[in-house]
Amino acid sequence: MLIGFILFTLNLFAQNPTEDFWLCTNREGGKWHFAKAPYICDIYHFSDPDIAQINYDEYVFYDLNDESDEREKYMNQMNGLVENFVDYYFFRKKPQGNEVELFYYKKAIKALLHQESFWSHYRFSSDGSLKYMRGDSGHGHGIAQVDDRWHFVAVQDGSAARLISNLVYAMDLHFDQWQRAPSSECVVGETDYINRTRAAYSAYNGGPSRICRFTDVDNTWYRNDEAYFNKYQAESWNNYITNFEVTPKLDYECLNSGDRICPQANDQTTPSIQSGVFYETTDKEYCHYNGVDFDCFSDYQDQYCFSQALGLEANLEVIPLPKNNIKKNFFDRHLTCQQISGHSSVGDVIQIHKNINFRSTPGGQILKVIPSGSKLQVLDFVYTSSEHKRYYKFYYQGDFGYLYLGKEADFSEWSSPSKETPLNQFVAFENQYVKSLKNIYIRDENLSSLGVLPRGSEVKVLGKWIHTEANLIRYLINYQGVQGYFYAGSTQGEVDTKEWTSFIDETQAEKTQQGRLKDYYYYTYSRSCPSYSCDSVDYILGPRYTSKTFSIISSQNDWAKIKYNEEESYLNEAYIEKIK
Amino acid sequence: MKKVILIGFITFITFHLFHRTPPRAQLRAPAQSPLKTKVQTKQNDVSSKKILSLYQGVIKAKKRNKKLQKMAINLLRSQQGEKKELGLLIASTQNPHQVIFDSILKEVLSYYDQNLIEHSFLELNRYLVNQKRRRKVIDNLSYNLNHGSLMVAQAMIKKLHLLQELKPEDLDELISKTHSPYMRKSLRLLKLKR
Repeated sequence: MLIGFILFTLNLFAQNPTEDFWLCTNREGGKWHFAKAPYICDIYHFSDPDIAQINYDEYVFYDLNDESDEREKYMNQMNGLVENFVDYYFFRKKPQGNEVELFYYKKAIKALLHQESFWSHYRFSSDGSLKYMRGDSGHGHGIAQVDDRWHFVAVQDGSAARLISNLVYAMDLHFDQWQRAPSSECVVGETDYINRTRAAYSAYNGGPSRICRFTDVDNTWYRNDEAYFNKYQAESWNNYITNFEVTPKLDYECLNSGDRICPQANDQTTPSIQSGVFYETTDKEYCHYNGVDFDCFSDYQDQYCFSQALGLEANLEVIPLPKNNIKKNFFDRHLTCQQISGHSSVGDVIQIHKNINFRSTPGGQILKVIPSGSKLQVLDFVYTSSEHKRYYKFYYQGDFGYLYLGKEADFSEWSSPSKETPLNQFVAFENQYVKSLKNIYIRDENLSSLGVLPRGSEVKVLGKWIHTEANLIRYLINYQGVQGYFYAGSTQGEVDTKEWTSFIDETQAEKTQQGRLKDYYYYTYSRSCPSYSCDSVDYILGPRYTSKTFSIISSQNDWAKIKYNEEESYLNEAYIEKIK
Repeated sequence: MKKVILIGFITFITFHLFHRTPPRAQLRAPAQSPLKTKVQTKQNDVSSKKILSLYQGVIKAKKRNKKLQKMAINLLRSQQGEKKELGLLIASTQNPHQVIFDSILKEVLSYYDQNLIEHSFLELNRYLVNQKRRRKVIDNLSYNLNHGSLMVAQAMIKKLHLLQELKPEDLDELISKTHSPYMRKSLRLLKLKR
């Protein structure tokens, strides 16, 4: 019944041999009915359940509630979301699009979601955990049934588990076919909306070459086209919606950007400026009126730190700022979060006191367990407003991920500061010597240039300045009489500090053979095993882009095992120039 | 001898990929079953493996020629992300070519596969020294940040630092033309990374 859509955008090595019901723990059934199609599985393998519930609570079907009432609530909310989101999506893609096309496009999407999942996505099951819909032997994920054999990357990175990302992902594929359909032989121009709808579905479900499948009654998969069109005509989702005027309060772009706590979109504002609310500016900054001017922070995810630092209540309502010209005092997260008891800053080293699950995102997939006693360097931090949980980002044995390190009341049971150097260091300590790997500007505190630190310079780190939500790292140095800061990478998102500096003791201790790409190559990809048919692991930049080198661990059959960006992978020796 | 074998191989691959069009009746007649899908997938894998094998040969022999450029262009124009990615791989071994450049902008950046963005940017770096091409890249980025796939737009923002030849004034222009406040914020942070 549920047909995972077949991928036609295969990434390099095509179909992934994902097993049935992969990472589908605590599976439960359902009904072939709106909001509750079978199956559901734990969401935490792919997305943070706490964050999902904060962001999407109104779109969760609660199994313990009265089913009929719950379905009505769910369908009202979900219809409002689909209506509003499709408007947003359509006019982003086609600013000059017309209302007639939008009408048919919207109906096509509603029927698609019916065909794929009966509009089912999040469910809070009777065992007290958040789950999400998995159809087609567990391969189809979520409301648009993103298939983990063909879209493995999108499933693994959590896009398929997050409601808005799931919709965006599927609609990108579908919209491409919607645009192509008028030029196919089975559609008579752009305004032949019925055939255009059917063609877009055929291509979405069967691949671009099957765009006219709905005209081929002998095709085995014609039955999918027929089932889809029956749903399109019947519009039976309308039978379960009692309020067609629901307006969602979701910030689509924030929600599509990953597992992050996002502000609720709100059109209401106060007639006069007052304290006790967060005002959202048009640049997505969040400000609190202090009676004279505004105290502001720039990433909503840091609202807990900001509220604590200013003594505000948690979870203040967010409303649009009614005027633009205000005086703002900006608070940087690295300073405000220091106010929280037991906080560790980026670059600090901590020792953990328990065996703790190491996760890809704060509450997401478990990568491994880090043993008690491990010493790790902090690379980022996240505080949730619910229960004041704290998560820290670390590097451990080839992966970057997050550890839960307790709440305000019990953080000391989870970890404590350490003075020791961690096994893997990404940020220098004060008084440590580093070597610059690029020509880098030396700047003052206003970021005006004072000079250049040449590539290869060895300098002592006198202090650190870590700032902004990107965790930009700057080292204070004195180079030939010029004292200032130079940029040394970022630890938010992709950690790239090792592209900017190396640690002197590390350089001296390096005894393995070093290599780089030959001058001929601009860049290439290393592989997960010694063959071009293996997955790409990391891009290796050539000497034109960087002076960064990699370690050559071993060599066999024309392939070298290398270590680059703390990760081991394989590179064909044809690329490699060995260096002393 | 090696050269003859390589040219023969390229010709075979090119034919295999782009001229193996079955008659229309053949496209429509057989019913598609899950088994058939697997068979087709296997065939796709075979052609991908052959191109990867060719790519390996090109790397070893350091071959640069028009046939390989043409092959890269055809792969970039394919409707499959897999083929586009192979096109980028082959293109990375060849000299810059105007049609390859145009194809990356039109067929890859304006496509909807965010996984191709990193590779595309690495390749585009080779073209940014030319002022006209730089202009086209900025226009394309600006358009896609505002109207392209949202997944691709977010990947572009995350990977923009890979376009090392972009100048601060290029970033200023992108900031001023980008509608999304989140993307503008990320672009401003990118400016601080230097």
